[in-house]
Amino acid sequence: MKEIIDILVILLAAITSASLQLGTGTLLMLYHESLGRKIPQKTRRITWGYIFGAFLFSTLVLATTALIILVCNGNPLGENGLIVLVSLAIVVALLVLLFYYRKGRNTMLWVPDWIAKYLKKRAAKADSSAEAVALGIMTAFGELPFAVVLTIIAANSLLSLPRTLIIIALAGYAMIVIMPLIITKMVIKNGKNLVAIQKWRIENKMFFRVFTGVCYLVMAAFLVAFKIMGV
Amino acid sequence: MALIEKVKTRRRYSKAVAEEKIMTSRASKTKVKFSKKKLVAEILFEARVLNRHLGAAKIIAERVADEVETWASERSFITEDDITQVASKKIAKYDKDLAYIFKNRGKII
Repeated sequence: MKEIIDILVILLAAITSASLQLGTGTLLMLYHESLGRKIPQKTRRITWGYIFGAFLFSTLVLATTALIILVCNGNPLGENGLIVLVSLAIVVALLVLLFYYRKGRNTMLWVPDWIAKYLKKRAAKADSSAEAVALGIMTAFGELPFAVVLTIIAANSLLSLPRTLIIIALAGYAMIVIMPLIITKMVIKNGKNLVAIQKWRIENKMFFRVFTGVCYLVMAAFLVAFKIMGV
Repeated sequence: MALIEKVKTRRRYSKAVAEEKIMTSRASKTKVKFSKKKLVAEILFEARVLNRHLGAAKIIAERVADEVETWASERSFITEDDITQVASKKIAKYDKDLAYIFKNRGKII
């Protein structure tokens, strides 16, 4: 039962992290810049590189966070640590609900201006797979202000799992995080253009906002119920 | 030839520059000349993104650029945003998706 709860926490953290939109936005930006300049074959390679970069960073940052918790604490975080994480999750939920998306009919996000500018610049200049991998890493890094709480919560639950399950959970977490990128890529491959995707994202902006915010709140409630109070 | 200002946010005119009929802004004070060639290239870039036939796209781009140039020549100063707005309206007569993507460049993240 304890393991199932930990797996559910990791699953919930991964779904919440996947619902953040910076990765998808940058992928569309990369498509836009790459298709405008290059042949589709090269664009395909570059976008796979980008997705691999996001996968790599998600895996590494989760593993590193778990290691840091283990080195600093010796064990998974106790009740006090979890209470801090729950509080942070609630704060981030409010930030997402109130500020994450900018006003207007666009999908611009409330990320630091220099990060958005840098990502746009790099997307325009990404010419090889290696640069695309770096862009994927940078994008995942840019999302950290919102995703760091999720990463710590997932890492904490990861440490409570048996060793055999840790690798599976780690890979599963990263796979779920990059799933929207793979789906977007498949949708483009099947003939939808950027305009259709972008219009769909704008139409469903409110849904994404509420979904992400509610996911954070559900996770906070889940942690309180099953990890802190131990129902 | 009209002078274009890179303006994205609020516009502001100082007394000195108003006399010279040059627009300035808080965002940027760079002045550039309207370039028909650049506008055609930008429209073709977006057409490639949407996988449009380049021959047809070139005809549309040149027509639109001609119309925008005529529009710009009647004004003493315009902004890049003005050009985007006017060009996207004119592109929309031929291709709505192309107009949409042209209008929303750089507004994804």
